[in-house]
Amino acid sequence: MKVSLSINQQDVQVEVPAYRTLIDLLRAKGFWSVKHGCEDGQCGSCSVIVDGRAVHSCSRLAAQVEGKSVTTYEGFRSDSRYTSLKEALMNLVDLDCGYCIPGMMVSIMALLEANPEPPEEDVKDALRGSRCFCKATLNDLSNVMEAIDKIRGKW
Amino acid sequence: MLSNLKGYYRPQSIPSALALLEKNSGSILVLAGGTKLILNENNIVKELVDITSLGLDYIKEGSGEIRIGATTPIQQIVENRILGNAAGGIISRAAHLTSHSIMVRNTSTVGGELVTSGPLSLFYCTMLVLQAQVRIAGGEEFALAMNVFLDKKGLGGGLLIEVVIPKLPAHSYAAVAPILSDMDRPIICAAGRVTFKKGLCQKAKLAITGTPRVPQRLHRIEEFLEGKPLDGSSIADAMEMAEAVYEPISDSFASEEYRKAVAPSLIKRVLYDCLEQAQDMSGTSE
Ligand SMILES: Cc1cc2nc3c(=O)[nH]c(=O)nc-3n(C[C@H](O)[C@H](O)[C@H](O)COP(=O)(O)OP(=O)(O)OC[C@H]3O[C@@H](n4cnc5c(N)ncnc54)[C@H](O)[C@@H]3O)c2cc1C
Repeated sequence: MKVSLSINQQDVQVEVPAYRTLIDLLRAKGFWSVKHGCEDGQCGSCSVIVDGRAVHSCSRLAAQVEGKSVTTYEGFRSDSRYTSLKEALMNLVDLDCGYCIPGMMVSIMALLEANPEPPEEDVKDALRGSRCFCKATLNDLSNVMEAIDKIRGKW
Repeated sequence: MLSNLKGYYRPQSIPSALALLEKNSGSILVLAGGTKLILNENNIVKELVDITSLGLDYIKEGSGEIRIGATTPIQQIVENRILGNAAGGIISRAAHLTSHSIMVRNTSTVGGELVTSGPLSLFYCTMLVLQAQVRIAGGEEFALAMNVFLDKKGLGGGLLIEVVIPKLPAHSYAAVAPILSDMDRPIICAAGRVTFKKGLCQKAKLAITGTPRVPQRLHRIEEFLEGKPLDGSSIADAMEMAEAVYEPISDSFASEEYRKAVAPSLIKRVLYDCLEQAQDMSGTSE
């Protein structure tokens, strides 16, 4: 079947079998930030933004995003405004692996799109669906909140 | 994974969705958010009918009720102002507790959540005490009270199209009391609503999760409370009754014994919460 969508603001049309998941479509197109994780909707490694909302791409068929706008981490990776947020998340998990970072970035970006000044509780809620496979716990969000302030240009 | 999936349809009207479902029954399924369907191993499903273009994504407030379309994402219920203010906020709270992950809540739908309800479904439990109805389309359109739907007899091959939640009568207060696992999953939860008249409990509706198949109403406690003042003594009696009438299941989240042991305090929390709301509003007397 034919599916038309936009990926990181580029219109694309693809021919896919009905069972193709969004994660497999995106990775086949070279969007490697979208990671295979638990494949069970639990970990958030495969998160992308669809029409402004963070969703799992492992539990979504490519056919379901017909006509929709999909943003992956590649869509804002080179934007220097977000570097401090990425660093804060890296510090938060305090590990070198970084596998979970794109998924976390995506869920915070979706939150910031809806509310540029989210309270800490909403940031926590956005991150609750992401799991660090190296078992870091996401407790102290002060650096992340500071990074969000920076993005808003408060510093 | 739906490894044998060959066909995918996105009808634009309820009659066309029903026609597709009827024609190919057996190997065709309704697809809403897909959070349950797509991740489950299923080799039988060959075709899907995506119902997200049927115009069923809405939350509408009428004079006596709130209507939620079947494909409304759960997160929209969490965020919706009307629902946040209705029934002491328990609808939004229950929606939030359907999953710890906002990614799941952004995708899963009200219809999918209700159709897949199981023993621990807090959202279902909440709808029970609010006496919600579900509207089903299948041949003719009809409405089912939640406790009928509870038996899952009603859906047949039809489509759940809407949930209708009556607004609470005056002097009514609602509350939920969950116990959460470390992954924020409600392993047992009680929900309730109380209507006060002249300082007495005029009507009570109580339900609890952790029962076989789906959450159950606690009719005996409701009947016991009606016509009595809601106070320390009647609440203590209600707790005692909860211990006697609640017949929970054991599962990987909690044992039957644990659920039985904590159920009375959840009933207590719900009733005190309703009472405190009533006192805050000075609503115990008419
Ligand atoms: C990480 C994670 C955690 C989860 N946690 C829970 C949990 O704690 N408890 C729980 O119960 N579930 C849980 N689920 C499963 C799932 O999220 C819920 O069952 C969900 O609400 C299903 O909604 P959906 O719209 O995605 O349904 P879908 O997956 O699209 O459909 C589920 C089933 O319902 C049928 N259906 C859907 N809508 C309708 C309709 N309007 N009319 C008729 N039939 C319909 C479909 O045919 C299918 O059989 C979880 C899933 C994930 C990924």
